[in-house]
Amino acid sequence: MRPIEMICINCPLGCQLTVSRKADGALEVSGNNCVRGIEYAHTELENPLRRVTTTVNSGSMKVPRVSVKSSESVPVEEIFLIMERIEGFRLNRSCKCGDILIDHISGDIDLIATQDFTFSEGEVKI
Amino acid sequence: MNNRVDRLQNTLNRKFTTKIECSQINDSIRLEGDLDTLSDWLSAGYLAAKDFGYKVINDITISGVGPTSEPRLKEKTQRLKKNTYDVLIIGGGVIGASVARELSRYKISVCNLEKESDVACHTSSRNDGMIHPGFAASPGTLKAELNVKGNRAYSQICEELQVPLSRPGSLMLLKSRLYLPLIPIMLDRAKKNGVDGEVRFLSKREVRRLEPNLSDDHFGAMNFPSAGQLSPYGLTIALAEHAVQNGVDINFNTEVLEIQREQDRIEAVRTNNGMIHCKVLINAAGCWSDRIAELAGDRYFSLHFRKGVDCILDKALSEEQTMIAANPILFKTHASHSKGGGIVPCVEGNILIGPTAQEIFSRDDYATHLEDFDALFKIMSLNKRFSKKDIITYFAGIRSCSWNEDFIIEKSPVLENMIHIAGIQSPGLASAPAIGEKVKGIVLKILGDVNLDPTYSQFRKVTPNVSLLNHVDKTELLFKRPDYGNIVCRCENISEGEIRDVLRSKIPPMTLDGIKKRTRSGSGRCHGAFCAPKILSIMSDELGIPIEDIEKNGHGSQIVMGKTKQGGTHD
Amino acid sequence: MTSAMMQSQILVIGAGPAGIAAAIAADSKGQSVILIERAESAGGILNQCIHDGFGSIRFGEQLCGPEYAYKEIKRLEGSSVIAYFHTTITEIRREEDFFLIDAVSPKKGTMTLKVEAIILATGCRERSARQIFLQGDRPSGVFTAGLAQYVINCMGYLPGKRCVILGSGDIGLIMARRLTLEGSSVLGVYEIQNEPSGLSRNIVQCLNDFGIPLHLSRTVIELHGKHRLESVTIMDVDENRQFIKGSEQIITCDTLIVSVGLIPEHDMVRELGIKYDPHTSGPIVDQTYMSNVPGIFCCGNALHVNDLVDYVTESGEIAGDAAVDYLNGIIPRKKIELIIDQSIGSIIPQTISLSATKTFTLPLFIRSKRTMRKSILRITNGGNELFTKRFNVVKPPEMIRIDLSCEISKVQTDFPFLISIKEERS
Repeated sequence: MRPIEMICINCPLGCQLTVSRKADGALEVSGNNCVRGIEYAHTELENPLRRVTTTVNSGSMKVPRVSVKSSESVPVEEIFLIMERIEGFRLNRSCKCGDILIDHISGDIDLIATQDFTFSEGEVKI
Repeated sequence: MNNRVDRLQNTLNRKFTTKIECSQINDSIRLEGDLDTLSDWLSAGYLAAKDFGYKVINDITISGVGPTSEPRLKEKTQRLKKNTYDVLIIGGGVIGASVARELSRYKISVCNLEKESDVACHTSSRNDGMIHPGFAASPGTLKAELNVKGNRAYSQICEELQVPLSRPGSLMLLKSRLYLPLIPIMLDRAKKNGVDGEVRFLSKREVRRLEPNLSDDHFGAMNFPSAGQLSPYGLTIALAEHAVQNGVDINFNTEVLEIQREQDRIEAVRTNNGMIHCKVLINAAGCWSDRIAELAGDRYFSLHFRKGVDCILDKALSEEQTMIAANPILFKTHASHSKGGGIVPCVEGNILIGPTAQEIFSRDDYATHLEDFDALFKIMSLNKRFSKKDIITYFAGIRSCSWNEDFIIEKSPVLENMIHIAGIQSPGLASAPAIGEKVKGIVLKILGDVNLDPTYSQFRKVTPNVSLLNHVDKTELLFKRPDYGNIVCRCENISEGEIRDVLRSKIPPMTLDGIKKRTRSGSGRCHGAFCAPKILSIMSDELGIPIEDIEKNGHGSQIVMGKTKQGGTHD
Repeated sequence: MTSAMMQSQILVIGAGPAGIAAAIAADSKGQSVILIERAESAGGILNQCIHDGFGSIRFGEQLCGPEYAYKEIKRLEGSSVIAYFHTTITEIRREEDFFLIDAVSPKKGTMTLKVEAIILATGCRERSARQIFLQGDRPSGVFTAGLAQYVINCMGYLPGKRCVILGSGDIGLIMARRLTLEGSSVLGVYEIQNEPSGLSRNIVQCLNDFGIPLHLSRTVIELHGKHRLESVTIMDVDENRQFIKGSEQIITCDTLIVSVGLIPEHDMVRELGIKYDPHTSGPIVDQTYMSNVPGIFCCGNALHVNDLVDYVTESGEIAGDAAVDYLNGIIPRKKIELIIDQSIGSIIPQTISLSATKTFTLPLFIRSKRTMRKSILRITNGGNELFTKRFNVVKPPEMIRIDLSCEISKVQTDFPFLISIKEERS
């Protein structure tokens, strides 16, 4: 195969990687400043993974949204699937940063709160 | 008489290659035909008005096209407050509001109709807020008379309305030695016009002592101490609120579609929200006043439109200049009827630069263009401390002008109960109180026996201006109203309490721009990036409307377009 | 009714990551610290930055903005810093050797504080559409990227359905992804420069993943729409950023997101005579992050716009520590200026104050002016080379952080430090 150029997204450095396949079929990665670059090149070629970060409806007026993330990175094509599953979800309770809000939103992956949220009944709007 | 029309026709024939027809209608002349350029169109109009002394209806098209932009016909939006009034005023600008307030002193019923959702949406919110001394207009014109009277009246009016007014005085810089011999003539004109204060010539040295940051590229300046400045929309809102406080009704989102006559008398006005009968109809429709005249079958004048762009500098520069300074064009040509723009320190602390002057073929094209800034940068260079990077915003306004460039303020020549106020270009704001007064006189003459209203209250009711309170008063106020302690707009230090106050005022704003005009929230350097969401929430709460329905300035100018995919909570 | 009067040694303004770090640093050295924040809780802008990628240096993991804030807030809660939220400062007055501060809050009403040192951690604001001279009409539907971010992430509303993004700054790129995930169509990102101004990884994961085109050397010049935005005119620019006539194109859209830069914000101290650096738009400081006004320190994005929150926290710690030293009477003796050449956009600090110590080590934050490959950064003093470092590539969006160590005896204190980056000839 021809060498592929890609940018490692693991950290803000954004190393410019050059990936090529050696005769024995193994991948050769250059341009990386750390080992994560090599790992990234492998998954990016086989099955690109991304973390989903979004918000869910809190059910409260005062703080309408609670920020969440997927517990692990997910295949790119699953991002919209997860977004769809969040649609219509209402938290309607308090949570702590790190709590699972929706378990198994996709396979073994959960949806996790990334902030503390205090729910108060008085603020609910029907 | 016909001789004059013939002479005009001959002159037009000589001047233009295509045929321009002129026909006389009472004291007016109507021009028809087609010309290639806006400048030819203007020359034809000016020729008939200035050289031949006619009121002009300029129906000449430019390459087959008439003036652009039609009003959009509105659906029924609301119930009218009442269907019969003594006086009906079309237009909620500074002129309509000033007339309404003058009439509110009397025991008559008055209603103001405004097609927009707020007062001061067009020319009255799109100018430099200058209260001119009254020097610029030629002696004997309505402009000269009403400007001086209006300027004088503002001190008391602003006290009654609690509208901040500054009188920094102005400097008319003389950029050429050639102007120096004209000084006695200028002093004489100031005297003839009755300009207030000690008008005098200041040497270059005296100018430098007063305004050390002004560029030295001049030969002294004429000084007019009575020149003032205020917020033009702040004033318009205050005038309208005071009128409402004294019993005037305003119907917003109400557009005049038809004017019904019984021979030479106006009977009623049909709007998108229904019919209204009146004894006197006042046309204060600004850029649309010739259209209103047309609806009344009384189109004996037409207007042309001059766009002006102003820019506003950061408040941090407020100390760099205290007086208004302009660099006027003293030898005017037909192409330039503006006073050339200047630097205006505003009462709020910002410096305003402008306006430019450009004739356009539209009543409501407020777009700005990069080319406008050449002229603004030139004006800006009058002060050595100002630069391009200090500009925080800019806007355009349109002055509607009659063909002889003077105001039209009179009872209709044919209709016995209609009054036209048209061509109120600069110094329209400065003249507004005097225009109100003059129109009041005409109304009283038409109505006959009218008494003063003993319940009229002289002062506008206002809510506290928290930033002006001393520490003790502020402490006490915040104890009673904690929402004054929740600062929403960080650039201008405006609290939630002040925003709630305007939403509970006599004329509660229904748009984000309406809040901005009343409180200045969002007019600082962040342009609402921090405060807009908070204001939307307060508006939604106070007015009981969903956030997605709140508009910037009406007509479908919603701020947000519904909820995110997973839905907001306000459902 | 009386107004509350409070006193402490140090006031920190702003409880974002910089302010929290500064307050904790000063507190841990035993000083009394008051922290004032106008929002109802701590965390600052991190609370609306729900995307991940924060904290890889400080915590060694990829956190979401609110998670980073959470960790810092927990530390704050464990300190003895007195924090007042939902409190806005209305005035700061400088007296003989202290400051008087007026503030208001809905809970406490008016209050006055007397402090000996102030640390500004007030963050930054966004450059607006007007500041880049966008022309045409003034309709609704024009958002700065940060405002759009707040509207979507914190309020749950959609700014619009057909969006154009002007500027390839990181927030703009991140909003391209957010808008797409929330159901808007993002028509393209337009960047007047010939290279993106956001991080490369955001181009990958915010644009490329969703097929959103990035147009370089192409910008929006006019807005159309009397009420809501209806379309924008875009135009190409040449290498000197001059518009190329005839390249105009009109794009139908209802929303324009403007992501054209951030400006440090310190409006409230404008009247105290602070000197500003035109390159950073923040105060000119020495390595203690003290401004020219004794007792006023500045850190985080109020000092200069950072691209990593980890550096923001670090700068808060530096300012917090230094404010304590200042109150303890450690006064630097001589200042050396750091002078940058044409290759460098900005540097923090702009001066170094030499104290009694024999050696010093300090972090320098440098932003290059343009992208340079195989380049070398040099710091010289009176002809002597003090520091060199080679880089594979330097880019303006990616701030360079170096630790400069010097023995004072080797420094020629009458000469400035000259800093430059040059591409090496291969």
